[in-house]
Amino acid sequence: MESIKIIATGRALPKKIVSNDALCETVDSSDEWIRTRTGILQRYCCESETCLDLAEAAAQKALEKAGIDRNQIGVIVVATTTPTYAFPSMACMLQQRLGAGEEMLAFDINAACSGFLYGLEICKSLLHSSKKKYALLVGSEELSRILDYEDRSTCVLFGDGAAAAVLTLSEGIFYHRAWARGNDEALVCEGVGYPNPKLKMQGNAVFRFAVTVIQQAVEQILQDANLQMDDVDYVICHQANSRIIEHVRKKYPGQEEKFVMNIDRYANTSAASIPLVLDELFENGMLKEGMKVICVGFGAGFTWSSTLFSI
Amino acid sequence: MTFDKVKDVIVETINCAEEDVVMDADLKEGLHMDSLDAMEVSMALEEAFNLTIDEESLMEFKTVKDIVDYIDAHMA
Ligand SMILES: CC(C)(COP(=O)(O)OP(=O)(O)OC[C@H]1O[C@@H](n2cnc3c(N)ncnc32)[C@H](O)[C@@H]1OP(=O)(O)O)[C@@H](O)C(=O)NCCC(=O)NCCS
Repeated sequence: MESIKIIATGRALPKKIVSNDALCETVDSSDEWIRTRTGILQRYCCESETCLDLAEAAAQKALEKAGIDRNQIGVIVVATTTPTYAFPSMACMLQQRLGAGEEMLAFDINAACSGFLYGLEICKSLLHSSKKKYALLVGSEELSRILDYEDRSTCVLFGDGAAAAVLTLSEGIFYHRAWARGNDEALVCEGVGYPNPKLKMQGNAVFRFAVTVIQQAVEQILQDANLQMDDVDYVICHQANSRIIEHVRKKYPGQEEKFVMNIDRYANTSAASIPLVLDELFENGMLKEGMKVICVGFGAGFTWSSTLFSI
Repeated sequence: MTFDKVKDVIVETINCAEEDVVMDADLKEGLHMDSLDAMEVSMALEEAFNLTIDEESLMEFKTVKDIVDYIDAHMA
């Protein structure tokens, strides 16, 4: 079947690392609370960098590894909830900063923490009718800008970062599902023009939502592909909270180690979290040709999505 | 019996020793449940007993008995 192939990935993080202890100098919390409730040990935090800078740096790395002709990029999609500008889009700015050709579709999408997976399907569909061979998909976030540091139940959870993937169409396995369920109470941030937009969240409601839909999304995509968990090499869940992932992986006894986690180092980086995991797995040689991977994203919207594809 | 089923759910959800789950076991101090464990247990109970446990009641459960009483009172 027609599939999307990840040719190369790259990531970029701000210089500054903020440990739990450092954060707790100004936030009424503790390393112990954060570690046991979320699995987070540290997060990266922008100082001089912008979300666009991170996106550019991640994309440069992915493109260098891919070694492709930048004039052959027909689609640039940036998944983000914290774009540096309302307009121009980050994707358009990447066209310029990366020196890609002008004939392309370049735009940002907001599907929160499902952004990268929504983006995979969008890139696949657009490449299908594109005159060019490649798509660049980036997840980039500067969530530190919208955190309310007076609200300890949210500000400890999120971090900044970006990761990118160079994509092309090829033969392989690719199953994709996406869902949307409007809800502006559980997880919400006001948009541009509002005086001081900050992320607000009902943690319990989001936790319940997450564990329920992840499981459904995993089961659905396995069913679509007519496969069992035994056939899959990795499950990459959006890294929101290790407790969410632990809850889900318990349902697959003996296969817990397939559920990858790197939230300890990055916290929740929304649209960047899934490609950050992918990039680390590629870097460590853990993703080999022919392996089957499930990715599951979930977040504000609510949005959620799952994909099953072969490397 | 409600207690046995509640016990099974708790043991399975938080991986504690069966003998620790007695009627007057304190959820926090005795079973070392934090707020997320409590939520996970409540979701599992909702599924096992096919009922909804409202958020306020969940916060008020102190012992295993509180859970058992709540379920007995809310079962059809
Ligand atoms: C945020 C989350 C960790 C909070 O855990 P919780 O068990 O639901 O916590 P609650 O809000 O019920 O608070 C429990 C207690 O911890 C306290 N608390 C909350 N945040 C704290 C912090 N950072 N440090 C110390 N204590 C904290 C609360 O004040 C409360 O104390 P109280 O009982 O004395 O009032 C959890 O709800 C969660 O992870 N939800 C999903 C969030 C998520 O992943 N969002 C992104 C999805 S893309």
